[in-house]
Amino acid sequence: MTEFKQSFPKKIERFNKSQRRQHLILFVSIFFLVLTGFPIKYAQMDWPKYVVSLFGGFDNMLNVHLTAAVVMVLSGVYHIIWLIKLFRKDGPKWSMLPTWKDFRDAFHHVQYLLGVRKERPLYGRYTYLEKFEYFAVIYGILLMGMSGFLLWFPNLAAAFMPRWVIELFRVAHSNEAVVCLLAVVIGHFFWVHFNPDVFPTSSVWYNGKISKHHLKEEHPAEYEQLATVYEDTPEDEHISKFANSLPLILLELCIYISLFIFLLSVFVPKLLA
Amino acid sequence: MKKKRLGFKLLFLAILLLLTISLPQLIEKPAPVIETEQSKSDDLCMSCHGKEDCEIDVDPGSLEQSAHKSLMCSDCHIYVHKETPNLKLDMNNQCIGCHASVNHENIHSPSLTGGIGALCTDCHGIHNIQSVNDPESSVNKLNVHNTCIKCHPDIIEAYHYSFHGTAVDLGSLKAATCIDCHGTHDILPPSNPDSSIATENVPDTCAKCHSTPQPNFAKGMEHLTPFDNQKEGAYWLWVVWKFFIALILFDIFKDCTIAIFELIRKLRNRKDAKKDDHNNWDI
Repeated sequence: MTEFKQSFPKKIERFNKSQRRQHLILFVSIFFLVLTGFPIKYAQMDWPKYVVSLFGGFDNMLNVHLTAAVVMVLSGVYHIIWLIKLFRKDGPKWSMLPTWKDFRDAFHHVQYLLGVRKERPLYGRYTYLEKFEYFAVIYGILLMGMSGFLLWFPNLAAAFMPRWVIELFRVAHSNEAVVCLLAVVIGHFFWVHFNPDVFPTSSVWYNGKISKHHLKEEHPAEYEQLATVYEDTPEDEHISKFANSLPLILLELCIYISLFIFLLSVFVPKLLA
Repeated sequence: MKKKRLGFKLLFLAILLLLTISLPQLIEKPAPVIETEQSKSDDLCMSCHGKEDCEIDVDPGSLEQSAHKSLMCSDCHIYVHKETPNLKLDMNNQCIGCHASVNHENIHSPSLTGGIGALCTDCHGIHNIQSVNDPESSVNKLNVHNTCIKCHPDIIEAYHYSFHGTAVDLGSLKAATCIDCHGTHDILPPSNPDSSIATENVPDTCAKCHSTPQPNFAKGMEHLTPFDNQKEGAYWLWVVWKFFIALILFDIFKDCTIAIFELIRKLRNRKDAKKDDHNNWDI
């Protein structure tokens, strides 16, 4: 007797409404933090004064920065509350925690990229890079939030530490900002925007849905799990029209290589200075 | 005889009276070289000094915007067309003549330095003296650090590095400039116990903006950069900075190389797929 299975949907919900909302809050707050923070870091250059005039003065801009910072921290608090609620309802889900498979996947991925192995690693719901990013965000919010808080209230900070230690937090805050920006703009944006498979954007962040084809490619282990629930039909594979576009791949290759060289030329001398 | 004597006495008294009235004026103010009506006329001065080819030329435009525009040239230039031992020092005395209430017992004052120090005109300007509230003024909140560095150029890098300097560079009206911590006409070296930047006074100076005078405000020095090994904490600042630069480079290596190799892999997969298609066709 064959078990009746529902046919496999073309698009599968990867992130639910609450997760999307958390991402949106985090995204908007980080957008404004970068917009109002980097003019402070690069005050000696020409462009920051245009950003400052956009906000009608430095003190206004700083207030926007502080407001966005509070929103960012609140998005973290929201995430923790959501996690607690989720755990109470469905029991703990540990799919975001690193396992030994992630280290094997990472090694496998390097081999795949170098052309040693032909097939991609069989990623589960979260790839090792996504897990890394998740914890990097937690670390980033904690470090930026705490150091920012001490800089916002130097008075309070000075109750616990000498002034030169507060200055250490400023150096940390200012440089960790670059770490965060690069991780988002180069790392994160490649996977969700510029990767030809999803170009110009993955739909996960606004409607939560991932195409069956992309799920199969990127999260084969999760797909296999779902395939036990759904009846898959080989047709109706929705492939992005840019997935195999030669001009796009070549253009992106040029951009990423020049970006790589540019960033090295900026930051390697700083390491050696 | 007696009458004659009385006449002499009267004459003597009259001369004495005349001298007591006129003598101080004769001693203190030498008679102006140019006659009064002429000296009152700025136009006459500017007819020569307003020209660009004059050796001592004065920009009429800067005079127009000056806070002293209602004054006559001769109000300050009392020694006009006369040799003076030190024009700037004389000018200082002229300033004090009107601005007598200004405290000038500070490290810049000639009486404290023993030398010439910094004079009124060095900070406030000469013909372009403007009110402190004027954004063009050399002592305006947003400009004053540029005035200080004319004599203290070494400090500017550290000031730009600090958050105070960064904020002022971007037009903040709240952040501290040189004078907010060091004072203006009361600037004293940190060795002087009355100085606003003497270690024991630093917490109170910080508290002018940062509400409570935390003793920790005095632990560590302002103008700290990762390169100034003389100061406490500079080494750790350098370590933290290097650590984060290394983290940035880790980011760059991880993210750029993954993206580049993914794209190269895509090209190769594309080629392989074509080959497969071709092979299939052969069969």
